[in-house]
Amino acid sequence: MTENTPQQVPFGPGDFAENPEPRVACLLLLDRSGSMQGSPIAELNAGVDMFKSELLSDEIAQKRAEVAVISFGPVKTESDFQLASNFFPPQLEAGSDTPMGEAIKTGLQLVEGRKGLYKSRGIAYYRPWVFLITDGAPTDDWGEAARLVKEGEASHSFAFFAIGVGGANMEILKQISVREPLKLQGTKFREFFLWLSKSMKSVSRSTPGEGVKLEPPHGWAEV
Amino acid sequence: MNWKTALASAIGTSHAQLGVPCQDSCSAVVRSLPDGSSVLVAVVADGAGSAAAGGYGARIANETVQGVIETWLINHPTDVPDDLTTRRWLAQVREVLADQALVRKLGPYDLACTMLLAVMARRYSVYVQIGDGAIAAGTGGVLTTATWPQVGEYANETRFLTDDDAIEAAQISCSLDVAREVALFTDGLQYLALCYDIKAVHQPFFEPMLKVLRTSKPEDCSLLCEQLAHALSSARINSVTDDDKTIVLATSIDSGQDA
Repeated sequence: MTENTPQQVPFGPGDFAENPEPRVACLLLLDRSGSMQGSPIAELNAGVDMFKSELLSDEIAQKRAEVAVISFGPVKTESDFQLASNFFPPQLEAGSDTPMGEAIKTGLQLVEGRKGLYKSRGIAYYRPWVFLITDGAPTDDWGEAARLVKEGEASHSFAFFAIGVGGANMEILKQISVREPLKLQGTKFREFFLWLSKSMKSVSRSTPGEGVKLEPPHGWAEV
Repeated sequence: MNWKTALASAIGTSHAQLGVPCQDSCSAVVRSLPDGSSVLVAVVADGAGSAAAGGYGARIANETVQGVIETWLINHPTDVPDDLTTRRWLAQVREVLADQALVRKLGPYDLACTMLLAVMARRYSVYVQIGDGAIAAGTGGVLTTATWPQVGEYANETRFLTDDDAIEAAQISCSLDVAREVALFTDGLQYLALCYDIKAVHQPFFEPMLKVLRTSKPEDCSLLCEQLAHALSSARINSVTDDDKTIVLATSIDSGQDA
């Protein structure tokens, strides 16, 4: 007769399977044209630093949120998609012109490539986000880029947001971005990146059917 | 077959922080047939986060499907349920959800939830899934996937019982293969309990629990449920998922008895 011996270990699950975490890719398209010289680019760099540390401070976001940075002009892929722990914010210096069209096209290709990698490795992923931050107007042909953004939004391939800073041409941004572009108050990059990291934390936690709601852009956007 | 069950739901930290109740619902009922055999009916349902009353939908779906199957078993004590029968059960649950939405002046998708269902009899097993989470079953020792999480392109997209095409899209398996153990769990646990690279069950997740359940007496099961609920709320689990977590475990193996 087997006695009812007390369990040594409380009743519960054993070892966990090791699966890759689902990923949320966030691409930053950052304007470092001549007009960003001085305080704007310094604040932008500080904001990106803060973005990394905010993501690292969240137990789940640090395992799921991947960041890539493309700066322009000229267009340069500063870093490909990485989890926060492997993301080293580029210290951007103001350059020359504003080839926004090319930057957007390069960026969207990078995003599609990342999704392809996720699919080939059986890694689950959320809809990627693209944030364009610019203080000017495109100095190149942006028609194709605008078309790609519209197509991508219509097919739910990504969510594209445009943020105008300083003297940014908001009219052109309205034609590139399907979603209403937002204007940054002054150089409140830190506030913007704090908001973005909160939004990333929400996305990386979102469960089925939740169609992530972004927090209202208080504290950094001009209304 | 005498079924022993342990089941529990635990709220996810993200819902707890927002003051939102757990959106999962589960049940495991053992019913007797006139021939003296038992049938286990196990249900897990997970309310959609975006739905206004997803958690409520999950509870209604859970209770309703138990009632629908109880009635069917009474009226068909010797029949084996087939694909059509199962889809009829689902249709009845959907009707109740639609009625409840009307009564509460909600939209038709406001009670959206996923559903996992296992009906385990002496002569047949039925597994049904709409949405994510999964069902694993086995004949003793090893569990295999009876269903797999249904997801869209993105990790936070899945199917719901209230979707227009839910009945067509449901994963349904009705067979004369009999399993003696089963586990149903919601998506909060799917990355911990399944190996995605080989699309298989991660045995070590379940084995310690099944081992105990096999040697437990039926009267021990409520204590096991308490311990399970506690385990699902542990820091160990909450550090890797902030979603609601629900699991139903059942075994008809009794290795606690002497020969």
